[in-house]
Amino acid sequence: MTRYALRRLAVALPILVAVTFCVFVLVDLAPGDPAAAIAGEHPTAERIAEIRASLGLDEPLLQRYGSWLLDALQANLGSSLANGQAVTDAIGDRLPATLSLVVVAMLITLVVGLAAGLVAALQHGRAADRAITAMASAAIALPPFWVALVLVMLFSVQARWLPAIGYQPLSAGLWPWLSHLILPAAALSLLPMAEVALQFRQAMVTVLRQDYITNAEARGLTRPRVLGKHAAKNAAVPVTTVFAYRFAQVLGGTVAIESVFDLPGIGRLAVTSVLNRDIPVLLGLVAFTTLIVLVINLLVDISYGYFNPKVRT
Amino acid sequence: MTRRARRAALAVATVGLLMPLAACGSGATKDADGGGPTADPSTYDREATIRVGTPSPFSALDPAKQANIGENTYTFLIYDSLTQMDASYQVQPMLATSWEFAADGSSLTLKLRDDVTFNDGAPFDAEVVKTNIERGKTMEGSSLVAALAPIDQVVVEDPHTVRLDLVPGLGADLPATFALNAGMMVSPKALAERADELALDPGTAGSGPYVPVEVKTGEQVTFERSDDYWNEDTAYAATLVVRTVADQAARLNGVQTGALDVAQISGSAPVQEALALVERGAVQGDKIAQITPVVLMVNAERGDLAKPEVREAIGLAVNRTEIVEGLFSGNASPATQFYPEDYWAADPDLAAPELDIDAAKALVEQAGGAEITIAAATGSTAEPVAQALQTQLGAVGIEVDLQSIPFAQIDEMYRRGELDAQVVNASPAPDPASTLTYYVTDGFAAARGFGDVLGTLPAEAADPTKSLDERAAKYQEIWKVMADNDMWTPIVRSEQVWVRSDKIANVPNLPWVRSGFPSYRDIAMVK
Repeated sequence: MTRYALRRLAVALPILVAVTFCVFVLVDLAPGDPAAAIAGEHPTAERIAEIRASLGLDEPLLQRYGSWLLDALQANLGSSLANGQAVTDAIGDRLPATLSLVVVAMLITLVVGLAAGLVAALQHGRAADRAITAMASAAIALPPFWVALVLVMLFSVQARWLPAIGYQPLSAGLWPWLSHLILPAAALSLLPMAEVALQFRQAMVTVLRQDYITNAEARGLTRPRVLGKHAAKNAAVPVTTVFAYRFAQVLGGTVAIESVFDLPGIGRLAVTSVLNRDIPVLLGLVAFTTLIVLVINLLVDISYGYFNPKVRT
Repeated sequence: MTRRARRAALAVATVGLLMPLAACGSGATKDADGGGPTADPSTYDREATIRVGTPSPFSALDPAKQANIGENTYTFLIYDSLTQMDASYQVQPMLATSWEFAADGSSLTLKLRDDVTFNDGAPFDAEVVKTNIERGKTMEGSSLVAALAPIDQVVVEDPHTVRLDLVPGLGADLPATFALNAGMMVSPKALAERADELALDPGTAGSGPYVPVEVKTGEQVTFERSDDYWNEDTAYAATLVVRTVADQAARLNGVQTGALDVAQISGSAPVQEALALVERGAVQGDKIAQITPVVLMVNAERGDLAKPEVREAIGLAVNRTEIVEGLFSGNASPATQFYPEDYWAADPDLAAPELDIDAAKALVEQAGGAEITIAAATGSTAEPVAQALQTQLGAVGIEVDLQSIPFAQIDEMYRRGELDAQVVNASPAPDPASTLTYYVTDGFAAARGFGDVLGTLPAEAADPTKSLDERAAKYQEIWKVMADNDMWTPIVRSEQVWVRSDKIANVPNLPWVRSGFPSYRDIAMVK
């Protein structure tokens, strides 16, 4: 298993380089000039040229990317062009909000999605199954951004139960923290939750028809034990795949959701850095989020070995 | 009617326009709970905390490192500047009590206040002015180099008098420029001890009425009132929390749910939504006409825009009334020139060309047809105007492609000559000399196609030895030449709404409020 994990890590590094290089090229090709963005109001052309030179923006693209990569490999992601803040600090300041949002969203996804999928599988073909399947299919079609606005309207503006904007750190207390995350996390989790529910339902329906389940029940094992130990474990593989895939999507979805709920996370930082052409911050964010997605994928790959020992070989 | 009399009449008309708008939603100048466009200062809650939602992001709170004009919303609270603009866009004293140009225009002498101390205890004097200006001119990465370029050297004449020797022919715009970050003074103690930290942690480096006690970069700044501020008629709230809320809906929701006390709403659809909420009584609101126009600027060296007939056709085909009514639902006014009619250098008699579709069609036919690309900043209020222009110009035979470009880049790309045309929510400099230098006279590619139509007029208008009236007359000539040559086509001046709780007062009177980046020093909450 260790060798398997190391092999996967070795593949991750070139992916990381390729992704950051693509973003570097895309930012370079996009119209505009980072020097103009930081030169102040009404700058002269000469002043912009001076700033370009001082930031090394006149150097060839490959040379600039090479310098960034060398520094990044030494854990130095550089500083923001806009204010000189270290990129690691900029990401670190905003990570708690995004991490909280993603964790709560994925928890909702797992708990509600698995529960709904299980109920649908156990009630296969009946009204509950049809209702859950219909609701999940509808949920997949709803854009999270729109869902977020509706949730705010219902639960913040009308009912005044939950805050419409802002974030409180966990250190401010469990409820202040959670109350600011429930609505954005619910909006963000709707789609993955629906997919998890549908996938788990289908996998459970298939597994519950297998002979070894009948045998286990014939041997007198309790229903919860049959479901938990034998059925759910085997049905978990496709769900895990969906979970990993949707994790990346949820991380990307924070860009829009953080704007709607005014959460000070890395999604909003990404928007600002794109608008300001703050290349070091943008590259740092891309490298960081790519790394997170790769790590999650790695953990998922490893988990396949737990659910299905055949893949370990 | 003399110009002065006309200006006075316009000022009265503007105030007359502003007040009913300001009272929008409350039906009077006071709300039920005592807030409103104006309120009795004796009712102000001096211990109040006011939470402001602004669309303006900030990245650096050091005046010499500010990248955009919106960051002034934060730095206005921390730093005093040499001069200030009042709500009607007139230059007024602040740290400088008076200023005077030399008879030959070679220098500008400023008399300074003698009772100001920075929040870190350092005294304010002429040496501080010299240190700050020289820093702004020479510091690596300074964003003030262009603004301070007219100053050749700074001479301290006595502790409270400073003389700025000027580059010949430049400097008329300095009194107005000093009302922005170019005139903000930073404590010499802070500059000596921790200049590199000021962008993210200005602390007590200013002499302003508020001290930032918590800076969450890119998110919000919490300010507390300074105990010994020299001006008692400001800083009514004990604490101000100014928060960057990029999304219009989030700002609106924030005020509705009480997470914010006041927030700025701009753009056609959000303003309509905000006004509907004001109408229903869900929030209070002050509707304020903006000084910034949405303008179509063209590059006469590119493609079909090099043909004078095409440029003239554009002027004749733009239907401002349709844009005001159709796009802004009436929450805007047609713009005929870069500065609003009540501004000192505007020409109250300059009219937009009459809409004449047939004449425009004939001109386009004469030019053999036309294809142009119009750029607008992504997500800006200018973008829907560009879309409307695409339809209106299409109706006279001008084929328009639209291009969406990030806000921070569009102006610079236009000036470098990389765009056919841009529709921009222009931010006129406080003095037209700076505006013309920026867009026209400094050799920028976009202006080259017009040749030397302005001749020596910009230099004459920016002559510091001339009186304001004499300068105004020259600028009126300039606007006319520019209109005759279709260099810029001002389209509309939009209105913004400050949604607020019914306890918030003074929004329409905030300095710079008509520019969209107010100084919140004077905002108040009633008890």
